[in-house]
Amino acid sequence: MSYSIRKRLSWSLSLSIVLVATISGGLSYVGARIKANDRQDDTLRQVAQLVRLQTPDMLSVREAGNDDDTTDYHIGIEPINPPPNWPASHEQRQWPSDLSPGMHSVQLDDDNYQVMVTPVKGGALFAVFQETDIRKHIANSSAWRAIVPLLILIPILLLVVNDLLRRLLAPINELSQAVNQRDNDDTSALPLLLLPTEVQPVVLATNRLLSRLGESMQAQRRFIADAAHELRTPMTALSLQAQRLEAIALPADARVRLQALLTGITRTRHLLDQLLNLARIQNAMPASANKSASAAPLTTPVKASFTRVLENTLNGARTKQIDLGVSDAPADEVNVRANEDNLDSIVRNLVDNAIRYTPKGGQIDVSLRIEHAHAIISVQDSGPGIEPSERLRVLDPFYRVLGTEQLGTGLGLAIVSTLLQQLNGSLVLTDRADGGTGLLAQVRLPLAH
Amino acid sequence: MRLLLVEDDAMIGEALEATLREASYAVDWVRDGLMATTALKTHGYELVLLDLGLPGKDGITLLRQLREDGHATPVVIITARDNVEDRILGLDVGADDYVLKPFDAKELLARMRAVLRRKAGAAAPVLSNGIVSLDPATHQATSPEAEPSILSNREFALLNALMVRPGAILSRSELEDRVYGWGEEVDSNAIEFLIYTLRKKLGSSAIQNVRGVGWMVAQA
Repeated sequence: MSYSIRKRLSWSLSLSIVLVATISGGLSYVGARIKANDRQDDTLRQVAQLVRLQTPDMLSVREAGNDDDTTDYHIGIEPINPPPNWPASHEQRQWPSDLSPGMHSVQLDDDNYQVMVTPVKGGALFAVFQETDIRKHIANSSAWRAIVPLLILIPILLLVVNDLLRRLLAPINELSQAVNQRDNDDTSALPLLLLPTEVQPVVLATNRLLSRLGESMQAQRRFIADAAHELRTPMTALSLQAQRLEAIALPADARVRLQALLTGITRTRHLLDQLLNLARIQNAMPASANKSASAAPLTTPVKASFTRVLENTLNGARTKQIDLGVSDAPADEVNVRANEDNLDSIVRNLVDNAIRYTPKGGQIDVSLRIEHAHAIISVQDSGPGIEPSERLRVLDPFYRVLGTEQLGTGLGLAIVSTLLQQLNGSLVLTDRADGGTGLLAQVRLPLAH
Repeated sequence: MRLLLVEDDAMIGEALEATLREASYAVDWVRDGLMATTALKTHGYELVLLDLGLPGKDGITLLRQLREDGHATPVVIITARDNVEDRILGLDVGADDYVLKPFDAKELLARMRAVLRRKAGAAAPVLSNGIVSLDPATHQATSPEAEPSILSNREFALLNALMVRPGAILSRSELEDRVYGWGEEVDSNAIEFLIYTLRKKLGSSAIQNVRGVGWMVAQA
């Protein structure tokens, strides 16, 4: 299963921060409330200490309005059992008469009170009290004040952590993008600069692997070049010697056998050429493609390629009395994104195949049209065609449709299809659109700009 | 005509030497680059057939030195190196042609003849593809199917364009460019008409039509 380190870290860190913040916020809130309650109890006790030193008369002279001004504390002082001379204007609460001196929580009607009962001079019991709702309000607001910094800082922390993650993981993202956009055959080392040390071993190991791969690809190419030389030299000697025989006066049946020998040599030479072509194409590196691009431009006119291919294949077609020609092409030249050798090789192989499989007196039509910024090159023959089930397999090297007696190398279509993969083109083999028997090979190549 | 063959492989060397002798060339065969340098200093050759992978001195180095010393002797490279880069290098260093192994003996001989012809300049004035021949000096064309006849200027221009490179297909517009001058009015079927008259004079198979592309004269 794949996952993103950044997302995981981001989620888990954010979650932990929020969790820790909630717990610590909750604890401070509760703590602050308890502290505020304690402080208010202390205040009641202190006030009670002061009240204890007073006489009831002195306590009764408080201005009546004072009750309303003390909104911050709402501490009231009242006798438990009001003496007869107690000012009637006072809103006197009916305290339970059995309250003993000390701290009490008392409910009167709908209101709750925290009450400190204390005797004053003369022995009468007085209540120093505060409404519980007010006490709660004060406790809550001081508790909130305690956690406000936390509430402000946590979102900032979350933003900082996520930003930090993004920055720290950016080099890894860039690396994976760079790897992703690479050419399949690019074996150059990945950059190590600016990568975190945790990732460097992976990149180093990948680079070692890439360089070994590059070396083995190089060795394979060298092998092909060597094989080419080694095979070509004896083939040249063999071919020259056989051709010398032609000049000698030979009995008729010896001449027939010589022709068979020469045909075999030609076929072997062709096979060798095609095999080396295929191997070279399969091993073509982007670097070497660029190198040859400087020599041969990467845009090639298609109609000129048709002319070159026809010049080279007409003799073969005319020997079989095949009518080979261009049936349809735009009046203006059309350029595709391919080098000349590759385009010629594609068209040549398709035309060669068509000539090989078209019976005597048949017809081969090469055509060109433009469709959605692509050139469509078609080669249509009047041969037996290819069964739908075989159409993919014929692209494999050395695969030949059973039952045909043709002397192909079995590599032509493999070369075409490999080249087209590299040129971002495609090859489609179908029946002829006009219902006649024969194969229609359609090549699609991007136009050059 | 004396040739120098520089080839290190014994089998190819022997076969090639014999083939060239049979084609009436005088052949000196050397097997390495140093001997080739000596041979080139002591004898005059009209053509050098040069292999690239040589012991002693690489073919490219040999060719470069030859050209630096001011030798204009035509050189045909015969090699198994088939890279575009190698071919370009060989031609840039001063080769006159580049033939890839394995080659056809007839093709090699034809290319040698072409190189020698180019070197001699206009030494071979009569163009021929083995069937039709054309003399640029007299505008006379001959063909096995007809009597020799003198061509008009336009007929000559058209046939000449085709005969310069037998087997090459020229399109209608390419032929029009060769036959008509700038600004000249060209009828839409002017080329067809010229080809019709040429076929009447030289036989119907002298100029072949390639469907959808153009016309050519058969290759020898």
